[in-house]
Amino acid sequence: ATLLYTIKFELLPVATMLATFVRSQLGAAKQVSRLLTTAAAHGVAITDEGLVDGSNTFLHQESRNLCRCLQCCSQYSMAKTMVSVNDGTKLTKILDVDDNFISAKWSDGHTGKIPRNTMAAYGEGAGATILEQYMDLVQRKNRAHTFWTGEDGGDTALEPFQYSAVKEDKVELQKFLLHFMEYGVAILKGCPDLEDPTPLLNEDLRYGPVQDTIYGSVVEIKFRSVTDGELVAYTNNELPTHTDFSFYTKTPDILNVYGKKNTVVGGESTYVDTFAVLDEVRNEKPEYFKVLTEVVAYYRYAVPGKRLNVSSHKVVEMRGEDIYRVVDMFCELDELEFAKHTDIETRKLWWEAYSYYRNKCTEPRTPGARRLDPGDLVMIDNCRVLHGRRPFVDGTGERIMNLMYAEFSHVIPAVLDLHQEIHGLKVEPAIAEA
Amino acid sequence: MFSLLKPKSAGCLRSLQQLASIRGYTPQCRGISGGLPEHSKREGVRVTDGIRVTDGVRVTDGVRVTDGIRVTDGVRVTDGVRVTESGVTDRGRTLLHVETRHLCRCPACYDTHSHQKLLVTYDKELRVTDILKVSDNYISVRWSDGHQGLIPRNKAGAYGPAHVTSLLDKYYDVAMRRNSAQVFWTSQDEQNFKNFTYEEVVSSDEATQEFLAHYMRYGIAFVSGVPNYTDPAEFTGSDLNVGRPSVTVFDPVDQVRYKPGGDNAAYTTLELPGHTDLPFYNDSPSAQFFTCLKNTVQGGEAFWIDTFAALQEVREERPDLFDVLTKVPVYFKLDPAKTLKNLYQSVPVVELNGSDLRRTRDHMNTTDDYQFVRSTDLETRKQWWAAYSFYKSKVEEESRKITHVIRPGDVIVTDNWRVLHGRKAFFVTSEEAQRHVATWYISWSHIQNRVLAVKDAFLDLES
Repeated sequence: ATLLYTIKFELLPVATMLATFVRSQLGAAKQVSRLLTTAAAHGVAITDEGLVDGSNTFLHQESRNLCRCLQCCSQYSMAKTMVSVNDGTKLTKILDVDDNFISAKWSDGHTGKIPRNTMAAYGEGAGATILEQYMDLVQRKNRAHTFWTGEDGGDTALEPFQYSAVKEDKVELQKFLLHFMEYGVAILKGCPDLEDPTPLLNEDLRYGPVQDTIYGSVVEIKFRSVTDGELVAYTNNELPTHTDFSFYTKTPDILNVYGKKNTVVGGESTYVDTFAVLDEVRNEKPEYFKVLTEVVAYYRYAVPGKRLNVSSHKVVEMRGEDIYRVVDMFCELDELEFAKHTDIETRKLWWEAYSYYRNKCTEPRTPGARRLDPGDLVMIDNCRVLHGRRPFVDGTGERIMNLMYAEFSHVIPAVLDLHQEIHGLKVEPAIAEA
Repeated sequence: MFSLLKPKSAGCLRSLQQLASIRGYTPQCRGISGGLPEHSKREGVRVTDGIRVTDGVRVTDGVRVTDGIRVTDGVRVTDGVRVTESGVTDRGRTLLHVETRHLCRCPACYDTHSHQKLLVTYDKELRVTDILKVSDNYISVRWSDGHQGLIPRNKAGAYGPAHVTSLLDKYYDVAMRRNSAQVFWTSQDEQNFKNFTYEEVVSSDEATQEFLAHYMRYGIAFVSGVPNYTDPAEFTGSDLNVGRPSVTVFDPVDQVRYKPGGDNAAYTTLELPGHTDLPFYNDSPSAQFFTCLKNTVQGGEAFWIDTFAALQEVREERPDLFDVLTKVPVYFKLDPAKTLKNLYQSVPVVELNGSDLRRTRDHMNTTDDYQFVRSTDLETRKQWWAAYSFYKSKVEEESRKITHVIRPGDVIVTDNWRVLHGRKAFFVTSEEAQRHVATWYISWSHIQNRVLAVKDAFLDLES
């Protein structure tokens, strides 16, 4: 009886407890094993540096900043609500892996989810597809650009779109905007005759609003008598190709030229893709190219009694290996300040480099030229494509146009939203539950 | 250059120096030795040693000098101005030949009304051949293309009369964002926290200019007592006359207040770490205005930090890390759910203009870490994190902050390219309690124009 008692009430419970314990440990081990197998199958592993996921390696703080749980990432703004920089947080455990997320735990005690692909990083639906298609253009990467000259590709770059098609068909509108991003220029013909052309940008083409400059939101350019003239553009002289507003600290991104009237003889508009020219300079004379990307030139615009702006820019701004922006307006160069701030040897080299580049810009093969007709809207990347005008014969008629300026960054949402509309897609945030 | 100035004989050298002393000119070439007899320094004095000097000076020994002094041996010298192989040297500064041609201020080359150049030339062979006359503000020259014109010698010749140049002397460097004219700060002090009153700022053009220049210098400026306009941007439009707000994907004047479910972290009650705005823009706006419309919450102190001061320390202590911050692009994004605001950009945290710090873009809450990982190799990212952590450890020091509880009537203008702004968390203790701030952006160049532009600034080509 004592033995039975001992077995039933003392040994059996212990044995049961032991069995339960062993089962739980085995279960945990199985789970860990399953997890390790899953992680391994997905190519996910924690290392000293951080987290390896297939071909991507995230540093520890990057993994923490990437957490897409509701605590760390606002489901409304999609911006991080917590940031890890110097706190030494490390990834300690992988909890689960699926196609889209890695569930993980960090040394600060937080558990969350790291995205594994563009969909998880940016949103469900086709968010990934949209961004995969356009990210290079949006980021102004040269590999997404097509460089052109008047002789080579200029016809394509300056091939016009029709306003009626762009207005009625979203596909055509998106093509127009993408063409602009790829070539740095896009021409739209047949626009309505408007006293105020700003709705063309703000509403029809969707990349407004029009930005104010010191001239207001819309600048009228037409031949004026010398006593009224504020700009050389108001004369009938040739306007060598240039970018606008070099004297601004932040030069406007997009110049929009709207043709209102043109009955003069001559006066064709000219366009130069500086990226094509600079690519040649980079290949032929890398030392000149370097100078143009490093030496700061000085600009000024001083209309007596009205305006005085000064600035300094490199002619060429790079982002990594990409040509990013060009600032080039000859008639606003401030040689006196340049001489004051830059030693003579550097300036000699700069003038050689600048002359070499400018001579290429003015070679007959380089510019494309088109007559600006009433109802034309020309969208010009003011950070890439120079614009100019051949002289027109005084007294042969009138040439009137309106200028408006816009932000490159506002073209991006227009392109992305059009994609969603065209393909009937809806991008939902991919915030995961914690 | 100096070899060209070397005369044929020592006697000739002395001649030049003697002439210079008599006429009050300073010889530009080095290597001239020997003093002058005292009596030779008086005007009209005849000097021996083969040199005769009168008022209309003529010197022998192969050197002839007249009113417009001309020295042989291929060197022309006029009133301290001379033509050399490189260009024209005037009081120690040399303008290259091509630069002189671009600088011509005659009406054929420079439009009298627009003050824009009408001429463009890239002719490397172009030379100044003669100096015809020298006045206080201009040098009259002839070029090898036959053109005769005027080169400015100073700001008055380049820009216009005295009241223009005096403004330029005062404000040019700070308007150009030159670091030498900016005051970097590492803590709150009397100057960077100086309070201007509204009445003071709008009392005169000069007062407005000085207020705006103060902002340009320190990257921040405070005004109190601003009227409660229906449209807060009236302060910048009508009072300061710096134009209308730059329009972004947010409203022209963004109303920042607590909104549950708002599509921006600023619409929460959470702490906002120090940051610059709109780094996801191709080119972020510069001057940022804040005004307080209501503040009845607990907490929510605003603070500001000067990144340029911190970056200067980084540059001095760890130039390798500084270099990384200026070169490695970081990715930023704005993609709030269910809106039409999708912006993406990659830029370095620090942008230089020559050696000057030009712009900081720093908003960790909007970095696109996924794109950064995909687009940048691991080693570069490790360097970037080391650099960014080092910079951040400095810029997050509490002692660096200016802090202020903003009240209705306050307007603060900050340089969004330089100064971080942020906010402590606040607590809404009742239904009525609210922290309501309006913010908008103005172009730096419009502020610059307000500071520098004056009336009646035509060139006086006769002077």
